[in-house]
Amino acid sequence: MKSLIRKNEVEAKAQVAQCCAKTSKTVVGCHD
Amino acid sequence: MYFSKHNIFSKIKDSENFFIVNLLTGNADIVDQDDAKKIIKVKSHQEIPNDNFFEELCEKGYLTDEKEEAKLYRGKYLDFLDSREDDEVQLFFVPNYSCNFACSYCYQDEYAPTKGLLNNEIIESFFTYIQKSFAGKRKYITVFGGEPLLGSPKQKELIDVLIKKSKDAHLEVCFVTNGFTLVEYMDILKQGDIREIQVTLDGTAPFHDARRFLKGGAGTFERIVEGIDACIANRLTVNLRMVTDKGNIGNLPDLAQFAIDKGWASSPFFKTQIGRNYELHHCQSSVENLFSRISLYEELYGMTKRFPHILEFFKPAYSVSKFLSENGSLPDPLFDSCPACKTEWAFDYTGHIYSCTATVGKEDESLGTFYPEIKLAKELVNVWGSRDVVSIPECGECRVQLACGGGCGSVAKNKNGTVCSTDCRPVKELLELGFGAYFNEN
Repeated sequence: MKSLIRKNEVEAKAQVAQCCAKTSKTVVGCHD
Repeated sequence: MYFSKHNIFSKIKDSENFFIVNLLTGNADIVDQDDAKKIIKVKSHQEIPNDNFFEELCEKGYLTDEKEEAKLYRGKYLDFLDSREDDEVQLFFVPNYSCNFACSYCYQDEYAPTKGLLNNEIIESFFTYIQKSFAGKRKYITVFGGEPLLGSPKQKELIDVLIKKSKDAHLEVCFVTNGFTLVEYMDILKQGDIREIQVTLDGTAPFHDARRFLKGGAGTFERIVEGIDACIANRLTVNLRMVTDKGNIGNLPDLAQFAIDKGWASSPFFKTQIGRNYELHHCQSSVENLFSRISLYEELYGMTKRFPHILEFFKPAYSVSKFLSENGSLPDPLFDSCPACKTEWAFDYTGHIYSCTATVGKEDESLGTFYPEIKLAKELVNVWGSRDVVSIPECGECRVQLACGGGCGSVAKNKNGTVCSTDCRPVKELLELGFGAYFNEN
């Protein structure tokens, strides 16, 4: 198997799959 | 040892290879056909030799002890809840539900006209309420609608007050606007700490103007483009949204090229999103015109292959695929994708409080008032607050729960009659596309 995890680069936690993504939380109609 | 119930395993689109992802353990691997056959045997409880491959599966948590996995799950869930306590809260404020546009697919078209108008007293009450109720929390305000940036002098006065009060309270502000009046609002906007301005363009002029037009039918594209130019020139970040269905998706390559040629796509003050036209409460478009969650991304997958420049304008997330490709790690497990009453609340000019933008303005969804008196239906708030993949029964055995997060609570309630029910996202299928888009070495 080929890992896609670059262990040295695992840093701060982040969640982006949320309804209103953290970096663009203004998203509207994003309830999709 | 058993095959983790959080393994997401499938074939990569347009590839002979497979992928396996586990958001609980934070591992993701590309699997060739030979190893895929071994994994299929493990899944179907056939024995496999105790060899290096078996050890690798155990090391990465794809094969695990059930009790140990349950312990890890509980720990990660508590981490998630703790982390959310420190999360920023988005507070939507609706100054009006009226609008200067008559968009062909508006889901607010059936919102009944409400008596009363916004005034300074209501604005004052809003700020008093949020500063008390969310004291100690990081927070920001998003001004929503209707259309908040209407062109009347009175509206400009009210928005001016909102922005000044936000600045005084050290709160950043976002706006969700159709963008038609951005140029004339620029001096007012520049007074605030504006985080971003969300504007919609549904394509280049002919496509956009056929869907998003003024009451009376006149086009709006040119004025909105001037507004976006003005925002970027004034270092106000624009979050450009394209709402898509089968009627306009074909125009995406042209819109992307337009944005690239304008210099928007390379500006640090510009970002994009693609939204799916869908039935939030209802939808004016006929069903044949709409994409499903997966069919939109299947279409985008094909289009970005045929027109790679689209990726300079917009890069589809395909669930966690984009994050994984850009960061070399998986995001934390998502136990809850619905921010309602947790990291999102909505308030409107009638003094009512709601769970989120999906429910704001729907009378039967009010949770209470901040004006003229403060009232909150705590039991209703608790229902929204309790929703996550742990409380939704159907999520319990789902392999993709930690990427899906249970979907949208409002859509679930509309569909099933209860908030704590599913609104499933096609995560496996999205990952098939995403791995094909970002990890395919073929």
